[in-house]
Amino acid sequence: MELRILGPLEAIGPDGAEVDLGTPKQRAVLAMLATQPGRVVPVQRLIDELWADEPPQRALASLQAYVSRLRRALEPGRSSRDRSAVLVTRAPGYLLAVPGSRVDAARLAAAVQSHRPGDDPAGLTAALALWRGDPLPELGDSPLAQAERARLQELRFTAIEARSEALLALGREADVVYAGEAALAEFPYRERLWCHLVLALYRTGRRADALAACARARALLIHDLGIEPGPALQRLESDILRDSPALGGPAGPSGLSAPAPAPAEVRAPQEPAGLVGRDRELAAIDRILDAPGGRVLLVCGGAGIGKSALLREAAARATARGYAVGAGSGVQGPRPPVFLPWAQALRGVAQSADEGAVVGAFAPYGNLPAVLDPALAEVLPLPAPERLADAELARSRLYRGIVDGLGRLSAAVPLLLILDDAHLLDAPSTTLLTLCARAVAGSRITLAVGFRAAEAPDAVAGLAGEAHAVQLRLEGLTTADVATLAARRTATPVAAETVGVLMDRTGGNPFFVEELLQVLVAEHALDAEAARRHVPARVQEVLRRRLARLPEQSLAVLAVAAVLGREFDVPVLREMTMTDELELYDALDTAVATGILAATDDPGRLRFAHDLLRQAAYLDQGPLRRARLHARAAEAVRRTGGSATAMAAHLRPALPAVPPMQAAPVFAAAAGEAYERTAHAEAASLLAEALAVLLNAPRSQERDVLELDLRVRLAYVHQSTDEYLAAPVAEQYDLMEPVLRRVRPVPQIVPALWGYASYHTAAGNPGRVADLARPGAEEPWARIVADVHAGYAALLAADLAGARRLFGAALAALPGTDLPVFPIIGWDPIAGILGPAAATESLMGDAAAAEAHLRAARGRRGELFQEMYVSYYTAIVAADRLDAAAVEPAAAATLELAGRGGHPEYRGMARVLLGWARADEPVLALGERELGPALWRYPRLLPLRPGLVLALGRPAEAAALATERLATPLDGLNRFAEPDLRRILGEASGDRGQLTTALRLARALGHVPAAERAEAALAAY
Amino acid sequence: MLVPVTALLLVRRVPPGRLDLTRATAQRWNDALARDTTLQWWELVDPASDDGHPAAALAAVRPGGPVVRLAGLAIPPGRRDRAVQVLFALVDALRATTARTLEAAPSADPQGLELQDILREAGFRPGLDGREVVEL
Repeated sequence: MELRILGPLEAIGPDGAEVDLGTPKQRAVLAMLATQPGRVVPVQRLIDELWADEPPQRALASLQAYVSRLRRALEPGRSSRDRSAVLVTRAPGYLLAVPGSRVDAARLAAAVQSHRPGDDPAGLTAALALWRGDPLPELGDSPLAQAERARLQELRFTAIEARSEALLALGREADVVYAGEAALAEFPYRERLWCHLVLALYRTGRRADALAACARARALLIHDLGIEPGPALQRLESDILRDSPALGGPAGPSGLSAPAPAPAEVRAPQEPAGLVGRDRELAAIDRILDAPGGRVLLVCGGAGIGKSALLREAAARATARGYAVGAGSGVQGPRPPVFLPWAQALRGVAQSADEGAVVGAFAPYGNLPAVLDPALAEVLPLPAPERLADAELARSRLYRGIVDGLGRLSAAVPLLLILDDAHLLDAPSTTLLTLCARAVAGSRITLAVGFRAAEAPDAVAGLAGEAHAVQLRLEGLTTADVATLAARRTATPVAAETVGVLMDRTGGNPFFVEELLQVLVAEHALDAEAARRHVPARVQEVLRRRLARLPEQSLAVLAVAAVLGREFDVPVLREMTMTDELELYDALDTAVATGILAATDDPGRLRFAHDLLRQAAYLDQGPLRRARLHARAAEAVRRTGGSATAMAAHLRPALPAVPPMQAAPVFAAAAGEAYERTAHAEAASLLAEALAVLLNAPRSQERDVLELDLRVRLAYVHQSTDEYLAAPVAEQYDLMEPVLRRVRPVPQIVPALWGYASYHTAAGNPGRVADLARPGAEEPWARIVADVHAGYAALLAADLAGARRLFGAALAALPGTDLPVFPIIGWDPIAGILGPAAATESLMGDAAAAEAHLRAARGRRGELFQEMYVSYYTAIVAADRLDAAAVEPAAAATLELAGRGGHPEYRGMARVLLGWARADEPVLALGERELGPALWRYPRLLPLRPGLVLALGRPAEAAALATERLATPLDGLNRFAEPDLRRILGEASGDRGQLTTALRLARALGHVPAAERAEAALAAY
Repeated sequence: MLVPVTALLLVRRVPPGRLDLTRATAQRWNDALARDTTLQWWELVDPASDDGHPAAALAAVRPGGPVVRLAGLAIPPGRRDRAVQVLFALVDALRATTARTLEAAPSADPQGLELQDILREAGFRPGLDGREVVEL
């Protein structure tokens, strides 16, 4: 891409073809940007220059549209979601990211800057060939266009002069004569060119022509301008008349390079008095105040960034150095009072300087300061200034008198004049400011100007181009600075998390930080949560004003984006607004250009510059509108493939606008996602929230079914983290019971029914299960639940044959339809039948049948819980045979799975089995401790520790352990533990009676492996 | 509230799923316009409202390369402000397209709107043949 502005604007694409740059206004936008390639041109400057007569919102919308079109023209292959690499959005405006070498004006400037006396003029010749005519015709006759054209013309003539000098040095006088005549025809008052022409004519032996040229120059200057030629031309003429030998050599020094500025005196920086994070800026101010001569100090940045505070500090430091200080400030409003800021500043100066010095300084003009501030009429003993009938002349006299008077005063005392909020100055004040800025060089005046760069008129922003200007651009504070500020304002250390939130919400803007801190201190809530919640009223006002400057389309889009959060996905926003991608990116681009949004590393994501801005846009919409937008956001998240967690975050504030039956399943799905990432507490909280939402819906079968689903999920989550029969689990199953009683069994409630049955079976209440499962109901799974849990109940009653029959009946009744879906644990109910069926067969001594069931269960492995469940049954069945080698891997797998998914009881059981299999008593003991009283619900684990102790050769200890366990009444399922405990006691103590009892009990129970072990022990006795 | 609520309305090309609703809405306000099936519709909507909620104002245009013709507006009775707002927004939106000119014939005014005044207020200027135009 190549851009040409030295003539009508042209853009040449990579293929060498000229790009169609569209309408005149559109070309003007590009021309403005092309005058400063690689530098941001503020939106406000573009608007001031091109849409001065339109309201700001309309102008911004138009600018946005033209930028969009230019991008399409300059980068035809770019999609709207890709960031532009040529016309870049960068707050506070736009930047043309084209290297200077690709812009003709920059190439001309570079050629001039790099040229040194004695260099070959070829570079300058090539650069001058870039000139195609009057530059920037697209910009009309605005002051900026005129100034820019003048700058470029000056650049061109500097190049012509330098080239002319270089040609003279090379002895190419004929070229100088030719080019000089052409250039002088265009700009006849350039005396330096006349000098070159005269010298070239003389050196080519045309002495008469040289003198004639001198006469032409003199006549022209006198006739047109009324002035004599300057000393250089006069001296040259005189030398020619004398045939001075000096004329044979090259011309004098070019003087192209500006003298280097005198180094400023550097003082040690003072300790910042109350200002945080502005050490660098304060050091710069110190240098300016200590330097001789006048300076223009420009302090720019956004609202609340600390410009005024820095200027106040500058005033304090200047006063301490003996300056007379005056400060005034621009006023917000459509018609700000004329000269008010200057009146304030002059009053301050009059009060802080010696009265005699002030009177002496303004004496030639009369009491001009009183024209600006009538209060000074009585303060300064000066006559009233002369009244002039011509208003223009009077105003001109006023400007000159004020500037001159201040300059004279500064000879007696150094002055610091502060004009804050200069972006709000009235037009006459702005004019006086620019005149004063130009005059400070020869005085001891420091003119300090604070303004918002994005809102400043060109005359104020352009002060940066003054020779003696120093610009300080204020940015947000760092996190460390915010921490310091917070600690200082609250007189207490503030937690790092709170500081992080302050930083995130304010972007380090000190005004916002201080306002937030004030609220937090007032509420005695200096914590991160409170810091997230508040938007101080004064901050909101500032931010509202900023937002209100945006075009309506951008504002409407931002209001929607504010609902999505500080950082948001553009595709989700597009789904919400249903706008064309291009239009949406255009609307957002304006917000980026004005610093309200910022880009992220992901081109599809944008973020608000700080969270307070988002909240200002958010809170101004009213609660019902916000709720509706959140509902749309949840739907947009769903359509764009977002997570249930993200949807739930929007549904929460949308609840007034979303039916409970629609919202509750989303919370449940979000709970599932939380459970997957083992955030069990969050999952439980989301499910409780879902239930609270659901219960607002009118009662119906649909609501009942959903309630059961949510409650069983919540029970499962608690069973993962607490004990199987823990109180929060019991609470859910108690609350489910009345619902189960009134709901017709349908496939969706099978998981709830199963959970309820399992809980009450484990709790020793199998009767409640049979009643609820209603065998014979139309839902086949209800019958299966009844059979399975009746099987459990038979086991509890030590009825192994009954259990075998019931588990077998359940397996035989399995329907060919899809399985019920068990939420949270991803449970497979068939595996849930095969496990206890295998355990039953194992107790009854049919190892082959047990293994067949386990093999079938392993074939159904799915979710983590189910894998753990099957591993556990594999281990326990192997333990029935005292097969340590088979127990070990299955117990290890159970332990590993339980560690990943919670389930403390399975963890304890796995450790008991693993400790036994590895003959590692500490591990076994740890497992028993983890289980606590729950150990007594797992009878086949009870004999393992005494058995291991006996095997380790400590019979007395084994006997004591067995005796202790036998002392507890062994009823229900625990009856299966008694034969082995008595056998171990008999073996450890040599008590044959215990062995006999063990054999009798095992046979009575039908516990075949225990009976075989008792028989073997008796045989060995 | 500094930011007026109307500022939160946005203009967009009518999504395909809302075309029937748009025609039904237009029929209530400007029947002749609603019967023309060749038009491209733009709507001024509150993005917070439901998908089934009618637009606050409608503008119909006839695209034609660099010149887009405004076929008409469908505005709730008495809401002249909406007419101006939708036109402003339409001009901005069309500026993001390849169109160069938006033109209107103020005679096509079945709703009894003072269309010429509205067009002028929205930035249109007199063009040839009594047409009103906006250079995009």
